[in-house]
This record gives sequence, structure tokens and C-alpha cells, in this order.
Amino acid sequence: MSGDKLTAAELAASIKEGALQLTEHGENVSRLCTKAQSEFNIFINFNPNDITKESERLAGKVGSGAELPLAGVPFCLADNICTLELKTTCGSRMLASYRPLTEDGAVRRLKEKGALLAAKGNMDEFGIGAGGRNSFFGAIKNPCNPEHTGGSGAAAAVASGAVSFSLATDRCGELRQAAAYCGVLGLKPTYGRISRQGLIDSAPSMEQAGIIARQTKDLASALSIVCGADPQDPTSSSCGVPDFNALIEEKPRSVKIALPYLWDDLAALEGEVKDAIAALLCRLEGNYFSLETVPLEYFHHASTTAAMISAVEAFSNLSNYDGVRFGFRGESKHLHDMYRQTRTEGFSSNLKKFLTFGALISSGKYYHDCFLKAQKMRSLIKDELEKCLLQYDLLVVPTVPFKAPLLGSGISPLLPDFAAYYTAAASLAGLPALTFPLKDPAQKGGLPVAGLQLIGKAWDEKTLLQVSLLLEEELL
Amino acid sequence: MGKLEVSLEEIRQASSDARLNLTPQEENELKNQITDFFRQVTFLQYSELEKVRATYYPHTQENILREDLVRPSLPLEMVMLNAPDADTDFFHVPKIVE
Amino acid sequence: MQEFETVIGLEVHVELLTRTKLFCGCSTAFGAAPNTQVCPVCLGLPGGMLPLLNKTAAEYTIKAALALNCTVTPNLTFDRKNYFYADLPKGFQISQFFYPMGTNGYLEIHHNGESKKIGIRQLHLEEDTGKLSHFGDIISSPYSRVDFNRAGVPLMEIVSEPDIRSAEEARLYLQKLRTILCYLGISDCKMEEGSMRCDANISLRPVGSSELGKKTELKNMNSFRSVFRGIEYEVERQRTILLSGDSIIPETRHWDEAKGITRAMRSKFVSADYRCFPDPNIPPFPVDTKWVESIQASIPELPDAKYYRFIEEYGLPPYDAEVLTGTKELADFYEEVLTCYREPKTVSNWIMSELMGHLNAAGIGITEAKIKAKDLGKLLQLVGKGEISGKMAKSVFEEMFATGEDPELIIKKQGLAQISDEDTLDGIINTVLAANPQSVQDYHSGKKKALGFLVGQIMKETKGQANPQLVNKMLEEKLKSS
Ligand SMILES: [Zn+2]
Repeated sequence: MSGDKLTAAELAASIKEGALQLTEHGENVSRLCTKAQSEFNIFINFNPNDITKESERLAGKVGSGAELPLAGVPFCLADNICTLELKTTCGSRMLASYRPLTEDGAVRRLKEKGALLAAKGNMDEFGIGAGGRNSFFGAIKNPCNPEHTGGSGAAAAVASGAVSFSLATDRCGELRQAAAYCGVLGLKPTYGRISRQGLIDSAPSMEQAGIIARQTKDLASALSIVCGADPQDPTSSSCGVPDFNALIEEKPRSVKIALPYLWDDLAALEGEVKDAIAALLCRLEGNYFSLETVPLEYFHHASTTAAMISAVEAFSNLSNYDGVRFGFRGESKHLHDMYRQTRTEGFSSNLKKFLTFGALISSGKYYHDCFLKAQKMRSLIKDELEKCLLQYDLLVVPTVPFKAPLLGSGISPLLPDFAAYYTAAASLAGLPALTFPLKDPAQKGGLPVAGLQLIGKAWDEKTLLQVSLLLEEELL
Repeated sequence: MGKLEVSLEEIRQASSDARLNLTPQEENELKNQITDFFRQVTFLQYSELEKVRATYYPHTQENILREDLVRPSLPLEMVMLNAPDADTDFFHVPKIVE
Repeated sequence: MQEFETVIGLEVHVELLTRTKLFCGCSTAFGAAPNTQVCPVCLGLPGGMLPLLNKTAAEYTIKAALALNCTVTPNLTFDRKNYFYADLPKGFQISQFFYPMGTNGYLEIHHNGESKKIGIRQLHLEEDTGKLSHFGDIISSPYSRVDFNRAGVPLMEIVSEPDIRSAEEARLYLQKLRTILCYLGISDCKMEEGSMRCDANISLRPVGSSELGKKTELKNMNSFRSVFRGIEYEVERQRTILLSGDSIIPETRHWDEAKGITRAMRSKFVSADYRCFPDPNIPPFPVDTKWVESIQASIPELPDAKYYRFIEEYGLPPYDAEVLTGTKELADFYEEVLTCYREPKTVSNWIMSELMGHLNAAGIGITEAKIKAKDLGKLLQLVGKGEISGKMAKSVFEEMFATGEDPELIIKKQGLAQISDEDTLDGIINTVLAANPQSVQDYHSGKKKALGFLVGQIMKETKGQANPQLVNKMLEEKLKSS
């Protein structure tokens, strides 16, 4: 029996009731993961024995009668989120054999509630971009069409059916982009919702862990567990966490949706994506929803703004990769040469260029002319979004301007990053955003057409989830 | 403000400051990327931006303080667990030779 | 010959007396085995770098800002100063670059009875670095060894305005700064142990000019004495260069204590551009008035206030007031003695000569001394009442300093009490007069020296315990009437 069709809660219930034996279930998960790994290269340091061990550990827990709402629910963890027992590589040669000494707060919560950690997700180096082609451990294939990128192992693992959900990070929109490429749901909650303790992040002021799943109810189940204040994280919020499982059962009433004027004025926007989004928006009108076009003056500057801020933060945040205390070390007799060898050999070409860009625009005249201006533009984008969301419940835009790119087309540069054109604004403003998959019913099994991105008010993941469930159950 | 034009020299200085060696090809690619990028980022020319405050944090938070209480440090073997070069109690690094 | 004015600004780093590091719970205790006081935060390990600010460190720095008359920042913020070095685990140092904790303050120095305000440009909180060591010297050692125990220990940096005009003023500034910080109990400020470090920016300019000359930054001065000597040397070096018509190369120079010279330091790999920006992991934290008020309330009377009060209230000369308020403990000791014996100048004399002489000889501070303030008061009372002589008191003091015993007990034990009883003295005087008729006769024939001889005989008879003033008086009366 595969966990593919059941919700996480249903799966956990059948395990608790004994309808499904954990060992048998573990073997099944292990088989699915092994298959998915061999076909799509979605995991790093994958070992089926880890799943066996993990399900044995859980079996003991289930037997003890502990309250385990996610008992046996398999999940994938992006490989920039730390666990004590597995290596954490961030998709980089630099950390190919790194053993973390800390465990991510969200992972700990998931484990306490019975979730089964299946494997670590392959990813673009340090989660920068979702091209899926910049991992030291090889390109990530899309389960819908292996010729195309899967964006991230976390998204592809969910799409392949090997796991129920994934925990991954979203920097300028990578989590949402990958979910859209793979045709699954992706939710980046409000910045501060989920502890960042245990993340190996590259853009601390934007990067936030989130959930990828096939069903809205699974997003809600996982979210209810991973959210909450962490006294160890100065950026986590003590804002109360509602029971999303209960809340999504309520149907939203007359949701007011805003669509940016000239949202489709982008050369990189593929016609197919545009048409699919436009068609969906037409169907939304009148059905629970009211849709209005709003003029947004700064939204289209978001991806370049985010690129500059995240590059400077990455330059600084990845300065601890110096070959002294951990990670890869390049050989040299001279300290500063050793730094150069280490970082030159340990980082990919793409990342080196990105970090150099960060070093450039934070120095000399560029500091004022680029970095500082980006931080100012961030204020304008944030204020504009927040003002818009005072009048509307949601802002909708596509998630990515294009379908999952072909893998054979070479590594996409990190600058300019058109994939983040629609996702970066929510990252800059710290707002929650959800991508909802649009599949072309005519092309069953083919590449997903697009993702519809819903951007909500700060701390209002509830509305995002309610609308997602509504779309899932009634409209599509 | 005039148009931003990045030079190879500036890219070399930046990569050197970041302790990265770029190949001449990488330097050129990056120069082209950045030139394109600056062309795309039209707002860098907005003079009204001067008056706007900078936002470095998405939200204000409330719990950045910690009481001054000692918590256990790492055992030495954990400290050295990931070290590329170390003896039992010190990390080793090449010397600074001038 | 052209006259120059010396312009000095000091940058002082002090380690704060917190139990834990600035952003993690690792202990700051000295003397631990290498790399045993580290964790993922202070080691800068991936996945464990979230900094949580030590509240006490913040409060200590605010306290110092208030005590140094600074304006306290309305928001606590921290920035990253980015550079690579083996003792710097994260590749950046967390510091307060844009909004220092305190700005625009001053402290007062007193010199030859005159007071001068030295401006404090800013005061901020930052992290200390780890330590590099070698096998033997750096040349023969095959590699460097790194210990990160000190990495992340809270450091407070105090930057003065270039208001200091001589090596002596620099020394006084540093001393006053130390006194204030010690009064606040936030640092032990021991230069020799490295808990207080001082760099000096030094330049000269023609007298009357208001422009600053080219400066050098002087480092590696590890005691108050070396700060004084280093600056004196560097000022002379610059004067010689300027007089010869050359110009000063702006550079960092090292003070070589053994050779007594300053040397230029090569700094090929230090990037000038630190690319400072607000640390995205530390959101700004409001410093509300209530918090500042409660910190203000915890500040004790500071050395200057005490100095002026001692002059005003006790009528002490400025020099005495300066010495006595040098440490809070000494000032407290002084005032406690006064509660038993209210003769401010006498008490001051005793403390400044006897007590401090003994402390210096023993190489200890007042807190380590066995002698109690109350007992010193008691001793001075006895002297005042004439029960013991000043000379005896000194020997009693010696014993008190050595053992911490009650002075009355010592006097009793040593049979030192002064004989001031007139009946007893009368008998002794009679005996001595009877035994020395020649001297009595000499006295009457005008040889006044004979009086001294007779007093000496009486003191000898009483083993020096007779009250000399009383003996003199009684003896003279007796001789005149005989
Ligand atoms: Zn620590």
C-alpha cells in the first residue's frame, strides 16, 4: 500500500490503528525512495538502511502510545537543513562530508510527532536558485519529465510520490519555483514563523523554511507542527500558531483578490503559462472570489532587488567557509592562499560568481549605489505590498514565468534570475506565499503548466491554505 | 548618478576580497552578467530613492536577548569532528607568511 | 624652531566581566584548556550560527555609556564587519558600526590640580577573536594553532576624541577610564592580562593650526607605562621627521617594549574595506527609557563626584582626593575609617602614607588587605586620646596590617599602652630625679640640655611607654618648683 493517495493524517491513523505495519510501510517507503533516487537523482547521501532504521525507531514510539499525528509519514529534508544523524551538504563540495552538531528545530518537532525522515533532498548549491543543475551531486530531474529540471530534490521527491511532504528553504522563491516545476504545492510561511536554528542559509533576512506537499491538508498538518517561537532564534516570532488542520475546514467567504496591473508584461513569461493563469483567473471570478487589478509600481523590481541583497548576505554568510574548522580545505602553505584554494575548489563556478557579485556591490561606491539602494527599494516593495494587502486578502501572480527548463540547456546563471521575478517580492517583505499547481488536463503525465502564486498578509497562512483547499477540491 | 559600468579590475578586486580565484573566462562571463544586470535594474537611477529609508529586516522581533547564564560548551571531540586539520585540542592552519 | 602640538586619540578595548560570551552561552572564564569553551555559534559552524545577545553585556555597555556622559542609542543594533583571518571564525566580526551604544560623551582628568574634559566619540560592543599560537617562534613552527576560547567574548571599545595633548594626559585618561569602569564593576581592566588594550592615534601639528596632521596608529602597548613610553617615543619620532622637513607616513606601528622603539607593521592582507552592513540575524531591539533608568539607578557614585565631594565635604587637598578616590574600595575604606575617627586629613595622611606604603610593599590591593577600616579608626582614636604615641601607633599598625588583629588587643599583648597616669609617672619622675642630682643641678644652672637627658631616662625607665608630652610637662613643673 502506497502512501501516495492518503493524506498524512490518514496514513498516520492507519499506522496507529495497526492497519499498516510500520516495518512493512518503511520497506515500501524505502523502495519508493530508491526507485525515485535512481530515476531522478533527488537525494544526497541516500541510504535505504536509514529509512529502515528510522522506521524501527518509530515503531518503538508508536508502541509506547505517544501522541503522534504524523506517525510514519515519510518526508524529505532539503540538504541545507541539519539533523544530527545525517550529513548535511547543501549540495556543495565544500560540505560533502559535513556532520552538523545542531539539529534543526522544525525537524525535531516533526520527529517528535512521529514523522519519518526518509532522506536528504538534493539541491542547488546552498539553495541559491532552483535551476536544479548546480548541485555538486548532479542535476535534479523532474519526475513529470526527466528531461527537465526538478528544481529541487525536495519538490521532486514529493512529486515522485516517494514522500508525503518535504521541508525545504525558500530564499528568493526557490521552494515555490521548484514546487511549480514539479506540479506540487509549496508554502513559504511568514518570515519568523518557523525557527531558522539549524538552517544553513545564505540569505538570513529572507530565507525561511517551508513545506512542499501534494495535498493542502498535508501542508496544514506539517505547518501546524513546524511553526512556533524558538527562544534560540532571534528572528523567530512569538506570534501564536493556530491549528491549521481545523482552520482549513472552514470555507473562506468572498475572498478579495488583487492582480497586479501589467502582471504579464515580461518577455520571459511563456505564453502557455500566461494563458493557463489567465484562464484560471477567469474561472475564479464569482466563485467565492472577487478579482481586481491593482497598479503596483515596484513589484517588478523585486527580483533584482532580492538578487543584490541576497548576494551581499551570501558573500558575508558564506565567509565562514575558510577550511579551518570544518568542510573542504584546499592545500597551501600560506593562510590566505589556503583560503583561496579552499573556496575556489570547494564552491562551484556559478556560486563563486554570485559571491563575487555580492563582494562587488557591497564595496566602495557600489555600496551606496547598489546595495543601499536595494535595501531602500526593499522598503518600497514591502510597503506597497502591505498597503495592497490591507484592501485585499490575497495578491495573485504566476509562480514562475516558465515551465521547468530543459536540463540539457546548460547551467542557468544566477544573474539575472528571471525565475524569481514573481517570487522575490514576498521574500523581501517576509510575507507568506503559496504556489498552487496548474496541470494541463489534456497532457496527462506531462510537465506541469504553471504555478499560481498566492501572496497573503503577514501571519495569515490560514487564508492561503483555505483558498488552496478550495481550488483543490472544487475548482480544478 | 551616471550609469554603472563594472571593470574587470573591480571584479578581480571583489573576488580577491572574497578569497576566490576566478578564471579569466569566469571574470569575463561575470562582467557580462553584471553589465546586463545593471542595465536591467532601472531603479538604480531613481534619485527619489535617496529619501527612502532602508529595510534590512522583514519584521521587528522581540526576543533577541539572553540571560547571562553559562550553557555547556561542546565536548572537544565534537569541536574537532569536522576539522580538516587539527590535533586533539588545536585547529591547525598554515602560517601567515609575509 | 617650529613648535608642534601633539594630538592623540585613544581606542581602548576592555573585556566585560560577563559570565558568558556575547552571543552564546559559552563561559568566558580564563585559563580553560584550548577549544573547550566553544559551541556552534562562536565557532561559526554551518547550521548553528544564530546569535542571541547577552543581556548583561548590553547592560554593562549602556552603564558605561551613561557613566561616560554619552547619549545612549535608542535602538540596539549590530553590524557585520567582514574580513578573513584565522582567529575570526565566522569571516565577520559582529560589532556596532552604524549605531554605537553610546556617543558624544566625555571624561575628566585632573592634572596638577587642574581639570580637563576629554571627549568620548563613541563606545560600542563587539566580539573578541580567537588566539593563534606556535611551537616556539612563528618562523620555526610548521603551522599555526588556533584556540577559539576567546572568540565571541564581549569587548567594549571606547574611542576618544583627539583631545589628548601629551603622553601624560593619555596615561591619566586611561587611568581615569579604568577607575570608572572598575567603579562600575563591569571590567577588571588589567592591561598586563589583556583585559584592557589600548591603541593610540598620534599626530603633530604646528601650534595654532586647527587641521589634523598625518597620523600613525600605535599598537602593542601592554601596560600603562608602555602607553606613556610608546607615545613619548612616537611623538619625538614624528617631531624629528617633521623638523627635518619630511612628512609622516600614515601607518600602523608596533611598540617594542624591550627596545623602547616603535616599528612600522606590514599589513599586506588586511582589507581596508570591511563592507559593514546590519547583521540580518539580529533584528534591532528598542532600548526603552525604563531599561535605561534602571541601569542608571544601579550606577554608584563615580570617581569625579566622589573627588569633588571629598574636597568639599572633608576639606581635603585635591591631591589627597584624587588618590583616595583612585579605587572605589579605597574610597569606601577611607570613609569607613572616618565613621570612627572624624579627622579627615589625619585619616587621609595615614592611608596615603602608612596604609598605601604597606599595600605597595606587599604588592596587594586594599580588598586583599587584612586590616579593617574600623580597626584603623580605633587606632587613630587611641592616638587622638593620647593613649598611645604616634610612634607606637606605627608599630601597632604594622601588626594590624600583618595579622588583621584589633589594635587594643595588640597593645595589650605587647604591653604597649602609653603611661598617662600622673600618679604612676610622678613616682617614676621622683625616682629618676633622685638618681640624677647632677642633671637637676645642671638644669637649674641653665643647661637646658639636661631636661632632655632626664626625659630620656624616664622613657628608658618606662620602656618608652610614658606619654612624652605629659612627662615633659610634669618634669618641668617639678624642676621649677624644686
Ligand atoms: Zn559558544
